[in-house]
Amino acid sequence: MNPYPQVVHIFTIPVIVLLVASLLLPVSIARADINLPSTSASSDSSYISGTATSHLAQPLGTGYTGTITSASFSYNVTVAGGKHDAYMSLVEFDDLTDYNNALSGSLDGAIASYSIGAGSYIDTTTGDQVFSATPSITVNPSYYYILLVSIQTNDFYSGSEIDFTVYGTEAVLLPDACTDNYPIGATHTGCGVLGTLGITLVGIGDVSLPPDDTSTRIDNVDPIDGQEIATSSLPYTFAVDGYINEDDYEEGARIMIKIDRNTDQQAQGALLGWNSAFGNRTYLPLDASGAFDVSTSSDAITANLDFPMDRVGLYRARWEIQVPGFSLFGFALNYSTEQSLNTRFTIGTSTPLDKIQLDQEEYLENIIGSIEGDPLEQCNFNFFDSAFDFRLGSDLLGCIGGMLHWFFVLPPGVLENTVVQLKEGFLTRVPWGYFTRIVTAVQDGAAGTLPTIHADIPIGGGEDISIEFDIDDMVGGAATITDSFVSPDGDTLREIVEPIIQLIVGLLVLMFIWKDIMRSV
Amino acid sequence: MISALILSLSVSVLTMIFSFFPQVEVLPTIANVNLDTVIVGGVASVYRLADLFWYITNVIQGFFFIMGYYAIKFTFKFLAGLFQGIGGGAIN
Repeated sequence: MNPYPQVVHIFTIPVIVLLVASLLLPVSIARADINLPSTSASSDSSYISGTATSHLAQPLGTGYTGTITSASFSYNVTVAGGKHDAYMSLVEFDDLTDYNNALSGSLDGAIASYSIGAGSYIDTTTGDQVFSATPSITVNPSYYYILLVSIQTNDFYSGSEIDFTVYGTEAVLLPDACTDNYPIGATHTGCGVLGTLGITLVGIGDVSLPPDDTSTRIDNVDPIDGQEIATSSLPYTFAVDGYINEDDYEEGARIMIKIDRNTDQQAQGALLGWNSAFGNRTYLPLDASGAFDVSTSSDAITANLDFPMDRVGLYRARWEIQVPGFSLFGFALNYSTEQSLNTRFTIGTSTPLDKIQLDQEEYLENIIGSIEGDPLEQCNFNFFDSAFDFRLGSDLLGCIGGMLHWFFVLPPGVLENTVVQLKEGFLTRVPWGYFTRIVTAVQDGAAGTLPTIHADIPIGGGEDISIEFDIDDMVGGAATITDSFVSPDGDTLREIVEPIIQLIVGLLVLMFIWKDIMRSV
Repeated sequence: MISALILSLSVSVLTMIFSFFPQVEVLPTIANVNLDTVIVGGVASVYRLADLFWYITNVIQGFFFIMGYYAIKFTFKFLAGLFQGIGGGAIN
């Protein structure tokens, strides 16, 4: 018998009322649409791609009036599997200097940031995606605005392994993990690539897009930096794309690819460093100014790079956009380099010695890059100088602190590189590799189809009835029905019910943990 | 710098030692059962179900939350046992 019937009664009624109200509330709220002139900025064929998390910003400028009531952008997921989140927000500035600083990568001067919309657990399937939202944000004609778009993987499903492509027209990258602002088309690992956004805004006038980036540049190369090429893929096709400005272009312009082999003496067990004597070059002509996307044919790479590319080991490549400098009777006597890029790649499975050499080179580069100033600078003092001071903050302590920091504090990137090396060289080997493989299979898993069950049921007389259950079709149909429930306000069943289910699951989890703790105490 | 050097060299040496061990690309087949296919297929089915019935994801999230709780709990118990051993039974 319940000793506290009134208490249960008091709590039960409000809970039921709240549950019913939470179901009805989204249906009963009327939305006030404001009809304003609608403009759109359509995308061109260029695109960006990024991994894990990418933030893109579209500078909108100033002079807008009215209220933003609808916004959308399109993008394309290139690797299927898992879920991802998408966000869209508007950042407001009341000062032109702060606005310009934001275009260089710092949002510190923003006076407000409005969320236009957020989508969580969006199905990540290969193909085009459209994110849309219906905000209600009133803009000020004297303020400056930047539109931010963010796409990130949902950690629960796929860690950081989703690759995606966002289409659009002009964008400035403001990656959260990077402090620099990258020009359109520039590549930065882990921070995404600048590109263009296809943005449609309703209720906001005069969306003006900045002009196209026409600077001479190398956008992408293949093989990318650090790529490992299997010997079965040889001969390999080298490719490069980018842009050559009309002012920079001269007839006879070309792409030069120069390749050096590092471990040519590997057979003798010695590492002699980059051996340019074995380096070789190939040239790819650029027929016109503008965007280019050129590659070697297999024949060209074997013909022009006349050393065998089937040697396992480390290579480095230098990519240059070259234009003729001085010509005589139509023949270029020399070339000048407009843009260049250095990358490294490996042919075949690199040896442990290759790995160590590469690791140590990268490690040294990191060390050199991380040292800001001379750590011994403060150590330039004389114990016997009358001005010498042992007190806190003196040169002596500064020197010791600098030395300790220099010796023991890990430079940026070292830990991350170490984890990557550990994963590649250690965690994929027997016996840990089996566990890693399971984790990878779960992380990289993509939604497939449910199995079909086939059953032969004997009915006597030597005859069978053959029944086939297409579980995927059956379950998919049920899911379609539940997804088709939409409230008069346009909210799906999921949008209405999911918060309640999350609440119930959360409470059950907390109760379970609480009971376990109480049992242990 | 020293810490980075030690870390880098340790990983390099570890990598070199384990380079003699076979690299696992797929799970083995045991008793005519291809474990890799089974795992990949199973994961694909779970993802498919999660796509179709989104609320399964909430349940799985709750499950992982509880697993995380147990991981923390057993870590504490392990450390407590370790200190108990070191302290000669000082911690009960």
